Amino acid sequence: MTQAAEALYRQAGAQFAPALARLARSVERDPEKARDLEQEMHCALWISLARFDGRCALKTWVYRVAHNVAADHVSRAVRGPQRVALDVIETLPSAGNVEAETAEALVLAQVGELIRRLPPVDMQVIVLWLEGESAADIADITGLSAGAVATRVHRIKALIAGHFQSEPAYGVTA
Amino acid sequence: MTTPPLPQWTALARDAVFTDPTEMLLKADRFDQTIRRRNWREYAAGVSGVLLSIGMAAFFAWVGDYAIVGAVMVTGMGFLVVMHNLRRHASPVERLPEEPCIEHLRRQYRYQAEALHSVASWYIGPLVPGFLAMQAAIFWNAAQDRGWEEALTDKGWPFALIVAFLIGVIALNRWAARDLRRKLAALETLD
Repeated sequence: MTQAAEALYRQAGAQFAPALARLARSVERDPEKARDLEQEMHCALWISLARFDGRCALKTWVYRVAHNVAADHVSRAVRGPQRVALDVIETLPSAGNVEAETAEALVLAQVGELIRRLPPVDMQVIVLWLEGESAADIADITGLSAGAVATRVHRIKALIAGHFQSEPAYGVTA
Repeated sequence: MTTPPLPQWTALARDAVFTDPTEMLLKADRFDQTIRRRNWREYAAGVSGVLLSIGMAAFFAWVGDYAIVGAVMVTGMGFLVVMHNLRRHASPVERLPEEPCIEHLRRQYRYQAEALHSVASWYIGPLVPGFLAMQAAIFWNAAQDRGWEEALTDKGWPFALIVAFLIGVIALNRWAARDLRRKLAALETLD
């Protein structure tokens, strides 16, 4: 690996390590497998950065690599919940046996469960939106049109807002 | 970047760090070793298959059953072709994880759908000549002892069951390929 690529890897680590950890933990419920997936993302990124030519932002590159590795992981999974498109989900799914003591913890658990049930494209948009990425950046990373991103973001906002309707203390910022 | 819509989300895993580059080098070495071991196992399985075919052919040549000898040789060659095809089809799509996510998904779905749809030609097909030759030899040997009618009645059922099984495998793979193509078509309409 060249020094430039290693410097990029360290820069990416300083900026995006928590986001990639959250992505791994959101698509893989098993903590040990999630850690393996996280390292798989690091490895793919480490190898790919030798090809980084600056034609897109480092952030776009890092997220593309991480989300594509995550999508491959999901497609390799032998077992898992049946995947349902975002537009046919009416409410946030049950968080299973998670003992959530607050509405905040519960909604995080439910959003995690929702992410694991979504097809890859919907999952990618939702996770990037949760990271605070703009619609334009999400479109650049995923390759979707701005309209397709907006539709999905609108849908997830409605689902989360529905969850908080009876809990006004925990708002969702638009 | 905008304000994260659910601050609790971005508060998670704040202490996460990337794997150290030195450790990454070790992992890459281990990965190379894993690939070398897998290649060696595949090579050993191929060689074992060929040796088994040669051994069986030699045995049946010794007992003078040349129809079975021919069938075993054809089966062995079919086995080699399947090994070669498995290696070709099992290799993943060219790794370009930095491409836009939707392009990556499309390539994966297209590749997998094609592999599943064509399973009859690259997996089942090469074994068919050996299978037919073996069945013909079995029918022929049984007919020499008991006549064709009894041979076909006795040996016909196993033959039919195996044919039905192979057709089932092809149908299941085609069904899975259709499912992937539906997903691919849905992706095409997204952007």
